[in-house]
Amino acid sequence: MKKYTINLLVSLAVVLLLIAGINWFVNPFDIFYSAEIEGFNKYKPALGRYARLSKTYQVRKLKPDYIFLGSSRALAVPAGYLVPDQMNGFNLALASGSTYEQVRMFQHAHAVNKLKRVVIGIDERLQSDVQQEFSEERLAVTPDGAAKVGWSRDDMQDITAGLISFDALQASLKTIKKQPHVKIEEYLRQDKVKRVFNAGGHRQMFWNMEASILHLFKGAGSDSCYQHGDKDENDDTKARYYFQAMLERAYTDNIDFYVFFSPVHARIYETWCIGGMWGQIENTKRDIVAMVEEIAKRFDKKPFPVWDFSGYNSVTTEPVPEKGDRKSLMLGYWEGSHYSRVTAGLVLERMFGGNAAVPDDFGVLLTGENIDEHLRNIYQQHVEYAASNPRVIEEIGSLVRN
Amino acid sequence: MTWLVLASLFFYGWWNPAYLLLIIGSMLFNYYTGVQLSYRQNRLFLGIAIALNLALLGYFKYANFFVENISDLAGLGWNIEHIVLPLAISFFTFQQIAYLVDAYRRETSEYNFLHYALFVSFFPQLISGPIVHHKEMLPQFIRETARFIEYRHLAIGISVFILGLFKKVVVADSLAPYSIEAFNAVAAGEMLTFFEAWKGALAYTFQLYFDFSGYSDMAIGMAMLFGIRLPLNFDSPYKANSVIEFWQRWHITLSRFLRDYLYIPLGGNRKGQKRRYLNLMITMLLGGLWHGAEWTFVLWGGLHGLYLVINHGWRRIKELSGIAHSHVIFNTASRLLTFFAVVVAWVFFRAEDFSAAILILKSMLAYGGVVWPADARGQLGIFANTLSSMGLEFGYPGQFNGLANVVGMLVILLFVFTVPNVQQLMNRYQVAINPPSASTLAWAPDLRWGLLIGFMALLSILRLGHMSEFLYFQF
Repeated sequence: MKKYTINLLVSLAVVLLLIAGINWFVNPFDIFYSAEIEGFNKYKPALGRYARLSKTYQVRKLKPDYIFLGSSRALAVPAGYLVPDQMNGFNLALASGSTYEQVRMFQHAHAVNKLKRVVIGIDERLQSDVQQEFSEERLAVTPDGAAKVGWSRDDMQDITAGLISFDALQASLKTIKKQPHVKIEEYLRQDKVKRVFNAGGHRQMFWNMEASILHLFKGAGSDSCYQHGDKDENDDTKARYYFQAMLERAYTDNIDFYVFFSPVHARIYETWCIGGMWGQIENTKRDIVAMVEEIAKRFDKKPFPVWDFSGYNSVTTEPVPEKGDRKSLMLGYWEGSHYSRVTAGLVLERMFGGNAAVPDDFGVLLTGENIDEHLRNIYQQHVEYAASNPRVIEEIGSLVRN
Repeated sequence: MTWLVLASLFFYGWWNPAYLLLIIGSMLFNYYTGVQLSYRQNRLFLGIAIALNLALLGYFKYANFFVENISDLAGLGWNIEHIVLPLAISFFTFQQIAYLVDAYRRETSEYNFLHYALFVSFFPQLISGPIVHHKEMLPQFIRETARFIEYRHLAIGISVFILGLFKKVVVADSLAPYSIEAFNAVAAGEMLTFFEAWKGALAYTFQLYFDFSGYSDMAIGMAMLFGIRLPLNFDSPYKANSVIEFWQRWHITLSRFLRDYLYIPLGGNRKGQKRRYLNLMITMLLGGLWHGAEWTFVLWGGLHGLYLVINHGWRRIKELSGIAHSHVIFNTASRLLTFFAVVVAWVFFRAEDFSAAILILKSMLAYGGVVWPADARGQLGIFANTLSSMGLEFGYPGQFNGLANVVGMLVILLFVFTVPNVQQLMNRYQVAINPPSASTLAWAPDLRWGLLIGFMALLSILRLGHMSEFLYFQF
């Protein structure tokens, strides 16, 4: 019995230690402080699936003072692009990240290291829902801003499961296996080629996204847009409360804060139009501009810049490859909702004035004075776009009918 | 012994220190009352003591339930704050009521408070049972002079614990998503297709067994580390050939408690057949309510009460008519019938509410159609057309994936019908009190079992840690 017990316990301990050692060293979720070795564990393919976990810990490690916030659309923003020398940039965007989750990430990053600059990409509306993978307990501060004391249950769970779990072991093995053997830019390009091809080409990807938007918003099937409507007010008071609190904090702590509306493709605007969401989009833009100006006034400061890159401009009207074409790659988009790193680079160039050429019609700085005119312009551009692109309207319309 | 009591109380307090006062207060009250009752038999005194215990349980476990129901019935609009149920209160209340009754019957010995405290709070079984009886535990505590490390206890205890852990973490937790999916769907008012519904109901049937019996094995194994034997709680219940037998194999210590402290005091079978059936129904309805403050639990208990009445009635008919069946076909049919009756009852046990239970039962009766995955039509080979003409449809029946699911469920069914349970494997070492009969396959402290147990431990530990992933990360 003695031999059996000792052999069993010692062997189990050795194997578990070995697994913990592998997971610590490979560090697939980037939650430990182990070395990054090119060709072994530098590229971490698991980060996408575990972003809410990984990014929280990466913030602790990298201590950025310049962050990008947003949903999956903003994931394209290159964190190191046009970052001033004295700043340390990090992309904190989360796939399907709600406004509330973004604000919580902002609070976390600001608690870890005082932020100097924040850029946030806004989608259709402010929302407060959280994904199941999101953990309040992991973050450095509570929603009210109080510092967390000691280790939370989730911290312990992250560390133990990060060392000893099937998920971690699988992710470690995948990390070792999936290391790119070419430069990361080339790897990402090849990845895009593969993903676009596997998805059936850009046109198919556009359709899928448009269908899912129409499904999500229960496509109204209307073929006329709700111009300057006041339909569907944003009643997510929690999201608005936290967004306002973030702006107030930024003014209080002198953080450079930039807001931009994502450069979705013109076809997405047409989808919103057909889905009856036009009024909602306009309301969100008006709401954000008014909110920024109102808070600035209260703090006696200049309003933070609010840029709109959506609408109908030379970037967002990029032609989409024909149906069945799985090989042509778009420069600025994956599909209508998700823009590419190139487009993200142009956004930064426009906002921060880099050296690259940016089309003149890409990006409008919004104020309380020009917002109505700007929205009227977009509507007019929509009318013209719809008239000159009847096939696009027919394609999206058929999604509603089907 | 003192350190075991302290460890148990620490374990309990870890969850919520405030409730430590509750369990300590309950132990002091019942110990003192028990001592008094054993000296001075006073029925009123016993009644008050039991009522106080039940009042405590009632307040924490059933106050919300009763207030809501009375309020709904009378349209009073009452609303009370949700009361958090203290951990293990259902278990330690029952154990102490048994102690009080036995003290009154002068069936208790003179225990000291430390031993009594350990009997109530012994951490391996405190949370999920088995429900222990003072007569089987206190003599062990008094006698036990175990050294801290005794390799025999460690080897057996660890092995049983790991087998239980594996049942819980690897088997039960892997089945959970299937039952959650089906029962969530019906809770949302969705009618399921035939196979989806059966997959959900069977997954829950197996999940509950592996989960609860796994916990019991873990408790028995952990107690064995200290040289303490706990009573057997599960004995392959799905092998039962009748519902009467099912209750002799499922949550045995609860059945025992309900029999000795509710059914028999109600009169048991001593007051005629009608009264016997009534007593059975009362016992099972209250047994159902013990599981939780929901009408679905009461219904589940009532259904089992009805099964037992039918089962006893059938036995009586057999006795009177002199029919005796022991044919293998009859036994197999009895086992299957028992199993399906139990599955139907579990549907009420698990469902969110009555209408969800009815919806899943209707789905199991093919009200939602019998649909096979269209992309798995090939699995049916030459039978596809015949089955189609008989009403089988081809489509997209949720998460039901065809043959793999059918085979999977049949394999588990065959497993629970035939494979010996953990306590049978350990029979030679008498790990539990009243262990079941030995199986041909038996555990031994050798290399073969060491490797198997070690592998199961590894799988279980790796399954314990879980990182939540976001599947929609690529947009």
